[in-house]
Amino acid sequence: MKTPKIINLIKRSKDIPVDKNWLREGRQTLHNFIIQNPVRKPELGRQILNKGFFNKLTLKPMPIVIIALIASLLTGGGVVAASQGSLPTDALYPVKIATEKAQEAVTFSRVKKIDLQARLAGKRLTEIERLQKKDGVDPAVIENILEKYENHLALAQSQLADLNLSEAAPKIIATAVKLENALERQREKLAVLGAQAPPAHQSLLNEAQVFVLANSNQVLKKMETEIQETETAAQANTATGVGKAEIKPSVIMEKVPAYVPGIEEKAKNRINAAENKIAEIRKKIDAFASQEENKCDPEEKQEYIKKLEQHYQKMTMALAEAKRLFDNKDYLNSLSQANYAFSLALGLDNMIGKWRRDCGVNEEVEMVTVGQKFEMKMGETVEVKNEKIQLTLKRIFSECPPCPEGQVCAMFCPASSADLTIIFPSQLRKEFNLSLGKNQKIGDTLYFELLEISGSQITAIINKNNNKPNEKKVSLNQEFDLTIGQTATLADYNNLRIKINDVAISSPMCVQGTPCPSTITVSFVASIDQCINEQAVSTRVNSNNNDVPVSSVVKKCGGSNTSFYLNVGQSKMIFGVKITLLNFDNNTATLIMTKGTTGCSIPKCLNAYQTGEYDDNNCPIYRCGGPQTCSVFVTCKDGEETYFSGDYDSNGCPIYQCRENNEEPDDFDDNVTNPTGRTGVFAPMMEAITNVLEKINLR
Amino acid sequence: MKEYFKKKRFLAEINRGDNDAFLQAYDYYAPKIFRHVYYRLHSKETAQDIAQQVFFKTWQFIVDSEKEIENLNGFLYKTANNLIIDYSRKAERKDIPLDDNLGNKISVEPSYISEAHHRLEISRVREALNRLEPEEKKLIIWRYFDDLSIAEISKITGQSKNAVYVAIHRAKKNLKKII
Repeated sequence: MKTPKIINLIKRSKDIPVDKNWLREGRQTLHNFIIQNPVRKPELGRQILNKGFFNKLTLKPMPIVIIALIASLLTGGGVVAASQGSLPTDALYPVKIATEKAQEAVTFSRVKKIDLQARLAGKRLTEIERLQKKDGVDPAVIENILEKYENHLALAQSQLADLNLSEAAPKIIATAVKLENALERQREKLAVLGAQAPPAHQSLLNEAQVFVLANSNQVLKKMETEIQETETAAQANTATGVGKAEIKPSVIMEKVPAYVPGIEEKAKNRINAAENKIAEIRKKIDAFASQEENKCDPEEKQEYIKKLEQHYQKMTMALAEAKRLFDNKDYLNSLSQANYAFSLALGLDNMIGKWRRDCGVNEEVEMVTVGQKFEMKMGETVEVKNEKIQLTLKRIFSECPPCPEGQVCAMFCPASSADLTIIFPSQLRKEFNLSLGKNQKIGDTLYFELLEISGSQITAIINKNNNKPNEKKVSLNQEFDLTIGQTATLADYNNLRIKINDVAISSPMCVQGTPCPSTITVSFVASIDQCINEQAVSTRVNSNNNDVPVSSVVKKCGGSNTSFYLNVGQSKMIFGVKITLLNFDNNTATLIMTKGTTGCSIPKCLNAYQTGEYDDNNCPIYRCGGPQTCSVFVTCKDGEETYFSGDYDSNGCPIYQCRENNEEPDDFDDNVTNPTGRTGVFAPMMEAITNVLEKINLR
Repeated sequence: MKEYFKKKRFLAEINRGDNDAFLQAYDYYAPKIFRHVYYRLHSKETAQDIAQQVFFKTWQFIVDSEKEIENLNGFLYKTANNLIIDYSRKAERKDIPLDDNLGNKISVEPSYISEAHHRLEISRVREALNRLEPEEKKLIIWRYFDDLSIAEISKITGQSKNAVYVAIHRAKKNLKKII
């Protein structure tokens, strides 16, 4: 039962019959008593005693406290200052509240009192916002703050109601408009907080929204009354000698926009908001009706749905009325009706939520398929079809600029990340935070990507490994962007893959007053599927004492990653491909991959060999499948050396590996795999000689 | 009518001990005070008794006290409240006689489609009111049953207007919770 109905029922129960005989007899008895006990005291003396000025000079305890607090503030009380940013869970919070009480006590103007209460109410919401960023806040703490918040609004409301015509009506209207605007901002903030809150806090925040809407309606009513009074007075002034002029309601309606700027827009927005909320509720009712729950009595549920539908009808009627009033240009009342429709919707939302909690149905589970975009609202759960993995949206985080204390300025901070809970088929539960545009692995081959955050909902997609967006296919001679965490694959070049490993920004020393350009160095990791004979270019001094390039072939195979660094504008040859870092901005590298270092082409075939000849561009000429030569080249990192692994490849060539200098290989078995008993780079040479000797039976 | 009794001239007559003015006040306030007490105690006889005493006590105050009554409405309800408290203290040791016949006589507008349902709702609210803390119950009755203003309730309770407003707000919330 809603509060207005309860009040109405109390008022209606006044019709208690009174016995007329009892009244008559009582009157007679009283009359007799009065006659027998007349008043004989001098009237004047009593008046003087009662109204004496000195009677009012008693100092009560509260003012003493206030004076003490003011003194503390004036003398720069450090504790008071420190308490201003405290939260209800902090030790200094009572000091903050006491300071506010002192502020209330020393504010005398009614208008300023209203302003102060609205500001303090805003402070309470900021406290809730800050508390929500902490984990595991007891709902009782939130309830307590909301109670304080509602008290502030109630006091503002009471002060507004006490403003009467003895004060200037336009001033009252302006105060009411200001309060209404503050209420609207706070309601919006409550909606955002409610959407971001854990389920335990949501119904409390919804109820607070309903309270704000009810207060808002009272303020609107006050505005209308004052506008009417002002207009009536104005007309009376013009109609001299006639007394108070009659003023038609339609005239008031016309005058409203002049007193309340933007009222039409406001009413329209509120109708739209109510319309959206109602559509959302319709969906919820339908989902609720179609869901099968076993924990609650189905018949009871049917009754409940009937009740929901009745409320829904009431809500749509209220909305229709709001629209009708809007069409009639009665914007104040339209706003009021839209508020009413909205608060009914919030009530329905809570009713459905309560049922779910009572029946053990915590979340609504929606099935989503891999590769299909979907939306998730706060507290909603989705299940990945055929995977039995459930994801719940717990919280949305915004990055807000710091706000001045107590102001509601953090309402439209851009959302940047979301907290989600994942429940695996094994019932293992894990929480993770995901930034916008990033992926989270949610299964062996599944990735959850956060595409968009809008208000209290997110848009996401779940991808399989093979089409996960973190892997992008690129082509040679084509610019592409690579973000941190992404891998670019050059499919037409043995799946050469590169990935950003790290980014370092160094700021060089600079002369004071001049801008210091910083250098960005991006570290990459590259790998490839097959072995590549990479062209290595070095220089040698020819007979004319000039440096000439000398190319040699280095065989590089997949499995061993290569790290390399690039500054913006720099290029490097990796696995026979020239990789150039064109730009780096906003965590994204712009790259291009081209073949060769100096325009020389590298054969795609394995077993390519250099003929020893050079073309017109001074590039070495290769041939494929030529005479088998065993290369001893293995590219090792600094501080490492090559060694013969003891194994041979399919071409009979010894396989070399890298190891730290002077380190003996763990699995080296000299008696079995290396009959020569030699190690190091000479081993293959000795082995080749042994082989030849064996073949010609000279050994 | 209520405004008439608030007028300074009328109050001056009451404070002066004008018989007619006081009886006029009785005619207007006696049914109200009776209903108020009945709504709180649910006993017709007790309500009649206490309502009668309210006027005797008020007259006695005018006769004896050096102070003046500033707000008759508030003063009468405050006196009624004190008498109810006294009565309740005495009644703690014995059962309070409940007279529900009156409750059934609560008139309901014929336009109401479901009279029975409406009556049921009224009794539901009454039951809920009885489950409220006595202080909160009082405030709700004063404010919504007796239509007392915040200022008047503030005078009765001795609390500030703000405190009264907040307490009523809290009481409403609790009443809603109980219902």
